[in-house]
Amino acid sequence: MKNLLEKLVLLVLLVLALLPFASSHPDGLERVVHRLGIGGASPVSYAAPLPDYNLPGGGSSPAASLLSALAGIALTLVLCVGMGLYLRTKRNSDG
Amino acid sequence: MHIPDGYLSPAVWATLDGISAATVGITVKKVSRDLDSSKVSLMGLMGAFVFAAQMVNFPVGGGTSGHLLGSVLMASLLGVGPAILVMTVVFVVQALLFGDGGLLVLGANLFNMGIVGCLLGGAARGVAGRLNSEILYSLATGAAAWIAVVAGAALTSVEIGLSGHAPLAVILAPMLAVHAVIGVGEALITVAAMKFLSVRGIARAAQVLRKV
Repeated sequence: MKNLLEKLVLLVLLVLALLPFASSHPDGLERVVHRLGIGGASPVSYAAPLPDYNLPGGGSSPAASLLSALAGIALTLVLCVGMGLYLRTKRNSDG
Repeated sequence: MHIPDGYLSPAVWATLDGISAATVGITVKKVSRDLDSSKVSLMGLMGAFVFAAQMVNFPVGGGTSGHLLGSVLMASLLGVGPAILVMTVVFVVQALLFGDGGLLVLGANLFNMGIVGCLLGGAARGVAGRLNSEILYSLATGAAAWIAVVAGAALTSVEIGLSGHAPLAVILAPMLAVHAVIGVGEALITVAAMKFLSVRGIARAAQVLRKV
């Protein structure tokens, strides 16, 4: 089990190391809708704190992308573990 | 393949939000009955891995890129229920913190790229207990990963088509063509990660436990 967790940490580090080499080409859906000219104006005006994995107002840079990755990893980790602990507690109190 | 707001009509996004919310609700009930304590830290790290991996787009030619969905891998390792909940967290974080995928269409994105793949991964995990061949298990999981991407592309096309932005006939073929290639990347990464994490052994152990 400990071994598995260590391997997962290694995988996260590997992905972070690959981040600067990520392709900046549009993804499959973006490509297709752009070519077909599909898409309407967004009905919601929501300004994400780190829009498109960049700093607000700033252009894209490897540093901003790394910062976004770390922020997203930390938040996802905390939320998933929090959710898991909550559900486990619920199980124990129910049964 | 994250759909932004403005691409789906209210009837379509509301329906998908309903389906996804109901699925997550049922899953929370089910998981809260039998969540294994040892899975909690795994859920956190798998969430972190899939979130980060979705940021690393790989080129698929023609000036186009794709990224891992990770839902088949997630369900192969964690089982369907916990996998759906972790994928939900990933898509919520992407939409709220990074504006990747719209807010109104969150249910559509979760269904297309998360829930469907988790169910496929669950099917592949079920196969692990019955197959005595490592190669066959890898093939089954790789096939599930490819199907997850292509099915997600088909669902996305149908939803955009139903929203009246473009005829389904026009959008479906190019979406399937490009995602058939992206799906190969998904399958390769999924099988490589599974081998590295020895997922087959874990899935087999889970099946043995269930039988006992």
